[in-house]
Amino acid sequence: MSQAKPDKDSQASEAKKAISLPISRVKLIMKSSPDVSSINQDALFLTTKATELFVQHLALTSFNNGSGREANTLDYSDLAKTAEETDTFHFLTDILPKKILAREYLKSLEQMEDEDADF
Amino acid sequence: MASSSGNDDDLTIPRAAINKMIKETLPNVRVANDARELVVNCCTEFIHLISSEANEICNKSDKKTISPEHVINALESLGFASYITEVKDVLQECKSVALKRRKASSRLENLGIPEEELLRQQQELFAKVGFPEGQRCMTGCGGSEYTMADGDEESSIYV
Repeated sequence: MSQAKPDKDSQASEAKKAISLPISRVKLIMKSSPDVSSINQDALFLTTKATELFVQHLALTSFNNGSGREANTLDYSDLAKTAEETDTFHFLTDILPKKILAREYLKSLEQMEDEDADF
Repeated sequence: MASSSGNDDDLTIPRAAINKMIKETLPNVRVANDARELVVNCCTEFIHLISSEANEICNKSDKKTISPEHVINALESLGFASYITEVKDVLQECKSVALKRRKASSRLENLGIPEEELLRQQQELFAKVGFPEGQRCMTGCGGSEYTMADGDEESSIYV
């Protein structure tokens, strides 16, 4: 008569295996997009999972294409390179300012100051 | 950590979740801190990208709510078609989990006797054995134990 099956536990772990990112946070981010009004719950699941796959995809691709491969490292430049070179990741170039060496920056600053001084 | 201005643009996926995923995808790889930070921001960017595209598709279809179909079409048109199969599978799994949960809870309700019924049965029994109505004692485990002194015998009734 008694149901000894740990229903709750197996369901929770099934759901855990399926999606690891916080769905509520994804929803908040989606809603902060301009013009987005309402999102169906299933559409939310899909987007969350897609974001997970994206992270894995980005990390793997960057690692494989990057210069850190021999040293078994992944750094900023690997990611920036992948965004530049891979079509699907090209949308990331907006948020990936190319890092320049400090001395180059200082040099360009000096140049700007010189130009101002010409007045 | 969180800015007090409450700016929408500061919303990101928690760093810990991203770190965990990176670790699972690239075990034993040393990942620079600024690279991790970047991945966090890329996530937000990706979500905006998908949302905007899905939203556009949704608007064109004269529907008000973004549906799974819209998201799938967005993935396709943005070059992420390779995600579609796995994403669909997960949706199926989430749905079946939710369905099982609903079935399980309705099953329990039918098997267990609701409390009002239990109380009613209790009253009936009291009436039969001559307890004054309104007197009852319930033990903590949900059952009730009554002892009746009836001449020589002591009998217990469990309800």
